[in-house]
Amino acid sequence: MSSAAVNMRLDTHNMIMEEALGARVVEGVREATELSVGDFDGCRFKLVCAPEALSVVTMHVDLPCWRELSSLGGQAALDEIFAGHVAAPDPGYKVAVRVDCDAVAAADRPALLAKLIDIKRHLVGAPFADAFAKLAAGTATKGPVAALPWREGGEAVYVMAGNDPAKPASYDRVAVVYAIDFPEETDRAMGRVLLQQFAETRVPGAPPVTFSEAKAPPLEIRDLVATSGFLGFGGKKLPSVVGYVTLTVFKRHVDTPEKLADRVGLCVGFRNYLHYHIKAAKTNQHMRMRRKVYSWLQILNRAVPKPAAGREMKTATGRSFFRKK
Amino acid sequence: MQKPSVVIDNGTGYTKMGYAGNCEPQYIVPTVVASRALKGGQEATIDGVDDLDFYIGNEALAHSTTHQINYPIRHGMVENWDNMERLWQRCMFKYLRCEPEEHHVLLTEPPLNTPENRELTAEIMFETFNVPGLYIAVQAVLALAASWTKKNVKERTLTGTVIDSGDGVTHVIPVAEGYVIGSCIKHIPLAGRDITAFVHKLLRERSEPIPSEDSLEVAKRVKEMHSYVCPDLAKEFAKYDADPAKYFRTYEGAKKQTGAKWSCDVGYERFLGPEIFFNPEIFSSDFITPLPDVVDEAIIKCPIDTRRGLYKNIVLSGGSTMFKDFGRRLQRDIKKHVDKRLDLNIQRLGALGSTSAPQKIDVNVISHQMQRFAVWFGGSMLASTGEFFRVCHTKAQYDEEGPRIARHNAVFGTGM
Repeated sequence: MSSAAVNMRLDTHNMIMEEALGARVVEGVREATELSVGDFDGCRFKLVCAPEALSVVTMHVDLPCWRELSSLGGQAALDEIFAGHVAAPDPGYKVAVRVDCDAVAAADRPALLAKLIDIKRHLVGAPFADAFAKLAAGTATKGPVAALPWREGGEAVYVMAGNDPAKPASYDRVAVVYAIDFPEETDRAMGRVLLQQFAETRVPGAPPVTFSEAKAPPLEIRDLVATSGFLGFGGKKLPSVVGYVTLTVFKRHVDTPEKLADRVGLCVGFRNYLHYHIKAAKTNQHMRMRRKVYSWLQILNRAVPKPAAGREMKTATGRSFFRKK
Repeated sequence: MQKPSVVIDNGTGYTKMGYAGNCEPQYIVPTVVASRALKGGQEATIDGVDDLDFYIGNEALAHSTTHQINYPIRHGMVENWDNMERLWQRCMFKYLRCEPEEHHVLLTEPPLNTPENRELTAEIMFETFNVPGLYIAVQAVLALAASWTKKNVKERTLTGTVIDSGDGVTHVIPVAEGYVIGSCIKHIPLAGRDITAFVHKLLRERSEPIPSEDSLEVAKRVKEMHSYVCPDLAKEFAKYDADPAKYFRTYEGAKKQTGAKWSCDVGYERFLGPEIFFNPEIFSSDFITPLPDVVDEAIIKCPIDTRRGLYKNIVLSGGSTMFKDFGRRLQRDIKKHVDKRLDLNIQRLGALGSTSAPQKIDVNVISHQMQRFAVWFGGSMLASTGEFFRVCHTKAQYDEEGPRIARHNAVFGTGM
């Protein structure tokens, strides 16, 4: 795999949490700490290990979209995946999980760590995982659109089962629609171009992608947008978005548990992935601009006007001669 | 709720980064970028992912065979802005996982950084990353702020002398009211690397049975684990000779190739290593001014009304100031100079001395827990206060006025 391919994707988990939790859960470090860090999508983590009980670590998670998410499968995912570990969060945080490192069998520790550090993917990915699991099991039916306004700026993601237009009865796909927006004008313009190219590039085997302009939302959610406007965070209406991206996921994309977990991770990280690439493209553009400026400066420095008439010059030995123009 | 600010301390060797409010930086990675060399000066082919084909930190060093390595910072100043921008981009997205639009950023700069560099930094931060707020702090000032953990709240001051000793060079930087007195900064070409070299030399001269391939690493470990500063060199030698069993230590290791165990004695180098700061002639013949003399000279060069404050608050920062009793010895030696000079002055006053004798000068060297990452820690502390958000340059200001807003960064923190 080329290095560019390695760097293309961002991890689904927070490396800081992985290190801090890994030291305590797997490596057996017993050290008090209070560590608070941020993550994408306005998420915040706080890891607390009190000096009174060094083997107990509590991870508090703040997700701005938790209120909407909990009813869309977030709470169910929390109760199911982190059964026995759920705790009461500190003020300002929405979810907490607590682990007593000594009570976990040594063999289970790596698996528990993997689960804990991916908590954001598990929770935010719940609506995706739910829809994909139904698709894989063949039990997908027409249901309400799961609309999750997941970012504070007011961007939303919509997940719904879709059907083949030729065979309206068979629900054989899941449509994931992202309403994408960026706070800054340059980013919006770049994001739009990137998304258009993203939709044009067809990769064999990958879910087909379509890009819709803000004024023409995809058919699946057109009614929803028409009745409620752009879905904002906490019921806030948005003035506009850059556009909509629709990923159509078929059964073959999610038919094994590994594939399903991977696809959920990609879906949750899609917006961050896009953001990362916009910033990388901007950096690249700036590098080219700097190079251009530098080469122009070189040209400018060389552009010394030549004297109109000839002039007298000296050789190294001191003899003088006359140079004609 | 306010998102935690991001604090990035870009040093010549290592970049320390993390979220404000924590005690330690979350990542310490070498300040290095590995990217593909452009072939024959041509622009790279554009296939969409070239802009991501680079590594930073330890990953960069691991790819030194396939990529071109570049250290974007030289002597504390940014030299290569292309790579610096890439480094920041990777720091934020891959390591800290923050959306730069949502977090205020505190960056550091060396003393005597140029205003143009600050402008370029602001340009990158506001144009590429759209950060909501940016503050560029002087490293020495952050080191002063880090020492507040030691003292009670009333004494918070941004006047003091910072002794910053890392791996390469040691700086003595006087700071008055949060501003560096640039003309009085002193450099000493002795630091961590030299101590390691000296310990290495001592071990080798005594022919300790250390595998030669590990010898430098062992010297470094001996320095970190066993070294301390002694009050008096001659007495310390006598102490060791009287009771070797009490003072000599053994260092145990295993050979890398075969795994065979070996051990060596650690003796006088325990106190001789850090001693090169106080008696440099034992190590170097070029530079022979002891550190306490240099500190004294630096303060004496400063404006007269700041000197008492500078003596009163001498703050240590950097890994090579972590030796046990380093601060105590430094304080004692500086005090000796100061008192001697003062007594001389009182003598000169003669009969007047009894009526208007000058007050004693207070010399204080402050050691604290956070010395190793003092700069980062100071940044983390200041960036988690409410005042930080008030003094930050905001995106709105930048859009209104342009990069020149970053030329000056208001001093803050003492009023807390």
